[in-house]
Amino acid sequence: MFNIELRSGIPIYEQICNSVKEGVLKGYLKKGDPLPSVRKLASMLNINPNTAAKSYAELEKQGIIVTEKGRGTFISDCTDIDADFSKAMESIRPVLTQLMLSGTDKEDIIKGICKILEEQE
Amino acid sequence: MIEIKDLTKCYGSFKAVDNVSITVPKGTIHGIIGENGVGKTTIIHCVTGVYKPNEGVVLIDGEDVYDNPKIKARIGYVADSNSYFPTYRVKDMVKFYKGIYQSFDEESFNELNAVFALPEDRRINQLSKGMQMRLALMLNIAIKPDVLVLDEPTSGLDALAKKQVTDLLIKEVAERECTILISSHHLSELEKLCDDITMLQNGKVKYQSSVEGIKAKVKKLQAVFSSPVDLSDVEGILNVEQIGSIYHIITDNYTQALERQLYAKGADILEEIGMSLEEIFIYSSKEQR
Amino acid sequence: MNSLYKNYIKNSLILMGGASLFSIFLNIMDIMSERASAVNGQEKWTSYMTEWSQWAGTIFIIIFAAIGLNTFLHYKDVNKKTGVFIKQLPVKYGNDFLFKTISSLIFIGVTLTVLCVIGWVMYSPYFAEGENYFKQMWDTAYMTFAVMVLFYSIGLLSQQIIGIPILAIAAPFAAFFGMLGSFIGYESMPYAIRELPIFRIAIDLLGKFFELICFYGKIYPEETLFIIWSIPFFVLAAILNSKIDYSNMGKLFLFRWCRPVAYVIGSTMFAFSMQVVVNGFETRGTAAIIITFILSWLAGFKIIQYFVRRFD
Repeated sequence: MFNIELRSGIPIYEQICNSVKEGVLKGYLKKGDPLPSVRKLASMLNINPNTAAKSYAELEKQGIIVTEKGRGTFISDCTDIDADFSKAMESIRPVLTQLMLSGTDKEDIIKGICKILEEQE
Repeated sequence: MIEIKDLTKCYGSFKAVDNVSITVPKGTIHGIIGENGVGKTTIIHCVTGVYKPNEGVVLIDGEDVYDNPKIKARIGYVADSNSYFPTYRVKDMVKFYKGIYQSFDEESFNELNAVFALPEDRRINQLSKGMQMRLALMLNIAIKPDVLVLDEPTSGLDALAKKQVTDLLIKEVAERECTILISSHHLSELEKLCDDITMLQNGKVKYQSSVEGIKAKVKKLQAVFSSPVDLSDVEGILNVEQIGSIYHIITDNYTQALERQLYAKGADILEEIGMSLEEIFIYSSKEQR
Repeated sequence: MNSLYKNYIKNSLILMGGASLFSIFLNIMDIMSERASAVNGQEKWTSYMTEWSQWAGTIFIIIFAAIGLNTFLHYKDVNKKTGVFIKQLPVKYGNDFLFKTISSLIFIGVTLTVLCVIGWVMYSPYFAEGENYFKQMWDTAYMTFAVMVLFYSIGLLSQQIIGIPILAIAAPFAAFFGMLGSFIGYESMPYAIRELPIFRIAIDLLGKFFELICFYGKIYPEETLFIIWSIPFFVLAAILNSKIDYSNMGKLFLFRWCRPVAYVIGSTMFAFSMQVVVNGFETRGTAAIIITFILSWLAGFKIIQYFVRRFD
């Protein structure tokens, strides 16, 4: 968790967001668990505090975490996360298109997707 | 906060810095990277008021830095190697800073030194390089600067010292919205620490963008071509390395169009391989030659 | 008053004090040797000390003090790194010693060259007889003031840290021309003023004081005048100096040549000064002169090397 991969094309703040979301999915992070302050997180990962702040802002926007003034940042209820299904599907469309263009079998693609979903459970 | 506008600095006929412009918004960290001798230190000297630009101007908070004590009092400068009076002791330097900078907070210095533990009575020329650097950092942070300029702050430091320095910088930005300008060779650290980067080559700006931005443009693509292919007519390719039918293609102008072109040339599989800033830097420098 | 000024003044005072103490010490030696020789008739000793108190000796002290002064202060400011440190401090560029050094280099170099040329031309055999333009120029009061300004600008600028070679070169010439100028100036002063009682008393008193700390032996009224006159010029030079803009000088190409020049000139000056010692001995054949020169040159070299290393 929270392993920043520099050689990835994914921006650092996004990696942090994904990390937190994964943590919640796998049960490592439960509702009400406190997260380190922006400054602490930046220090832990040796990153720019603005990047840390950006990731928290994004997570809060998505309803994963909640910040209470004076108390800190915590994992939220996550029950009312608004995941727009159609929007999400659109975002994987280009990936799927590319896979198909390059000749990957439809069966293989579906198997690959299932594998990832299993890992998350 | 920091505005470097069309900065040019010459030494005689040699143009060390050629028309460089950099903007650093308040509360952000900007990294300047490049080979040795490319002009990083010269830029820094213009920003701290050591040099007067031949052309262009350096503005901090809207005011020209040069010979401007009011603005310079808000700038902390940590040089790449010791520039303090060699026979002065640590406590003499503290006293010196106190007598020059109104905003110098001795308590703040002592708090920092509780961590770094530099002996007060030790003379500067008896301190190791790492200790000298830490002293400079402490003194400059204790003046509570609005702008902190660092020239190769982590060169020659051990891993612990590097972490301590990085933590201090993070703290300054997070808590005081300090604006930081760093020049460094340690790209892996800068990659994580900087909001934006300026890469210099021959005194000119080669790339300038956020780290994300640079990585969005400069990419390494792995393509498989079943038969040998000539890619010299494809625009935007910096470098191609080939092992059998696997081609590693480095581009500094990644677009969908480029991908389509490669598919058109017969690429069977095309995927993106991430590049660290260090690799980006190496390929860009290689290309120059 | 900020730290930098305080720093400066403190160091300058310490060094001035040191140099004066050294002069006083030599004064005492002189007085004692006079007494000793009067009682014991040690003529060799007397002649030695008399020679010592002549201008070569003064210059030796000036050089010694100047080299010490400038080495000590040199390490702070001419050193590239500390120069950069100082330049980024939030103080007005009136404090910029590093760049004053360059301007002093140019200023002194050019002026000295001109003066030397004038002086040597003037006193060369070709012009020994009859009127000549240079001599007249030289003899006017104008020249006196120019020389005094020069000398004390050098002194002031050296306070603000000229590199070692500058004072090593400048000091003996400055002293010589300065003295020359003061003699001429005194001569051209209207007689009526010179003989005023108040004037005489003041000059005599000051002369005694300067005698003690400058160790020149007897200080003549011309010289006292010279020293007094130079104070306003000192101040003027300081003011002018603070107004000059040294901004365009990058630090990259400073002083590469300083080091070798400092060693060569400094050692040579030291060696010349030590010739005074040779003069004190009866047997002063060519061999003795050459050997003393070489030995004292090496000694001077080592002394300068020590100071430079110590403070670099």
